[in-house]
Amino acid sequence: MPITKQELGNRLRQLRETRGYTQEDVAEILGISRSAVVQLEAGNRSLDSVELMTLAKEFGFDPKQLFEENFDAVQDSVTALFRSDTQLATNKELTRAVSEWSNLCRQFTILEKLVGSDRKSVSPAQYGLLSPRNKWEAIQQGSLIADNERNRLRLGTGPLPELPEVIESQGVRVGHLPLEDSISGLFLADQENGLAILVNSIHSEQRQLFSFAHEYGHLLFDRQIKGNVSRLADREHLSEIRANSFAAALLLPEQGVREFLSSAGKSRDFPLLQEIYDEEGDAVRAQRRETAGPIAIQFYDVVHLAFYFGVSYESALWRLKTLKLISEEERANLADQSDSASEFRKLLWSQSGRPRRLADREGKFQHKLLMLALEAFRLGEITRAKLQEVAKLSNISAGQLDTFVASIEPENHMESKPMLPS
Amino acid sequence: MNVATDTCILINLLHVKRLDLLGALAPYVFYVPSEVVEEIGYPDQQQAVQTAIQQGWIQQTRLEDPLELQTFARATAQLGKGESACIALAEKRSWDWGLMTQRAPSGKSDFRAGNSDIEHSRDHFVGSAEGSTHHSASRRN
Repeated sequence: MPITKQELGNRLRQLRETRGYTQEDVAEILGISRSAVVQLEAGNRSLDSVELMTLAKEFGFDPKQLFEENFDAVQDSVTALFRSDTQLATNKELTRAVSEWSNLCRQFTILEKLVGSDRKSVSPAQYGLLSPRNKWEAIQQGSLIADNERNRLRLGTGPLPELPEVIESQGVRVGHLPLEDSISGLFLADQENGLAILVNSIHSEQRQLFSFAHEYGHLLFDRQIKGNVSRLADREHLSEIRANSFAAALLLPEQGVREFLSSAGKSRDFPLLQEIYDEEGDAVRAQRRETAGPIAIQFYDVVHLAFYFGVSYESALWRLKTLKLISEEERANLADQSDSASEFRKLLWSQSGRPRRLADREGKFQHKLLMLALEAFRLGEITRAKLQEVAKLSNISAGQLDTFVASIEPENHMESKPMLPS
Repeated sequence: MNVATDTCILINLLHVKRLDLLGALAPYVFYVPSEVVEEIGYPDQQQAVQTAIQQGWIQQTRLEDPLELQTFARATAQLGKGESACIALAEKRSWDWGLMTQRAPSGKSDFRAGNSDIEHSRDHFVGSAEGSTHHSASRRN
């Protein structure tokens, strides 16, 4: 049963409102008057297909969605994202960037289905944990699930410089986008868009890696809310604490940190007293003397640790404190030495080579999208015109596309004469 | 008879500077949806299309009916916007359509958009809305 103009107008109004747009905003986007928008939403003015696609792009919704019987403006992931963060709608540039990313993800999902690769992809595990009641539980849950994921994905105890690829292998689209400084990242999760993580590309490499882990944690714990923006201001929320705990434990696994410090002669966690039970009914006690020299962890140890695991100096400090390898006083003292730490990090870079830059991944998602589109074209699932539209999304020029297409088509594919109806 | 006309047909005629032919094929009236006009990229070609509209060789039209929009939105998953618009117009208004698109080497035989089939024949997809006459390359040859 086709929907009426009134219903279409009503649905557009709902989408506009959920994204925090005014009628004036829509008027400007479509290049029409505000009164025309009022008439449009009342069903007294027709929406044309060019306006439909313009609004779909701006609001990040699937145009098909508008005509579905079970349409629900508040159920899609972009709406969930706006609901989770009321400030998002105040920055239209950011809103557009998120919508564009959502559209790319939807296109990716459609192409995956067309070429059949969706049946071969996996989804991240879902952990049915109860909501934490306090910070302690949030930290415990985050840490526990990080250990589980390390084991499940057989990641060992070492660094995870390839974390974005690991996350992608779980069927999650990952990307970078310049966001407000107060935002570290966001996630989207629904059937239409698939699962997606975006991190703030203006942040440092180390922070971006942490944000990838943080958002992956959200996908494991909070997928049911469909979308969320991670802001610094929300760091006291239990869900953010849990995701932070997950990220810290995933990137700096306890065993890995202890092994690293031990190899640097800085393990202070060896017990001074050990007791071994024997079947004779008593325990054999072994005691060692405290190490004579100082074993205090220095700023250069922390820099080395952070460098090895690809995290920031501050992250490494907090992780050491969480693991009770340093006291709060030591953490504060080491934090005061951040300038020296920064210099030492530069020295390590100059000697060992800068770690692989996350920025090198930029555009990788778009390249994958293009590969999918070429495959869909090869299989006859999309037309040349559709392929060109996807190529444009991937910043591929028509000339470049011609080169690719020529190599996958038979030699005699050249355009024939136009066919007109008889 | 009305024909929803896609970009490739216009471009081919633009190459030989014979858009006027579309105005001389009575009783056919060739309609181009707004998406097709937008897909014409080069300024000189845009100008030529505008001239053709002013001369009445082709008619510009917009998709506005919710049913047309629905068919259009569904078709865009697999087809370009211009192609999708042509199919939506043809289906809702029982028009014929004129599409040309390259097929891929191992292409499947058809696309479905709404109630319409696009016949896949040689290097073209040509067809019409369900219930109307199909115009295929094999019939033409």
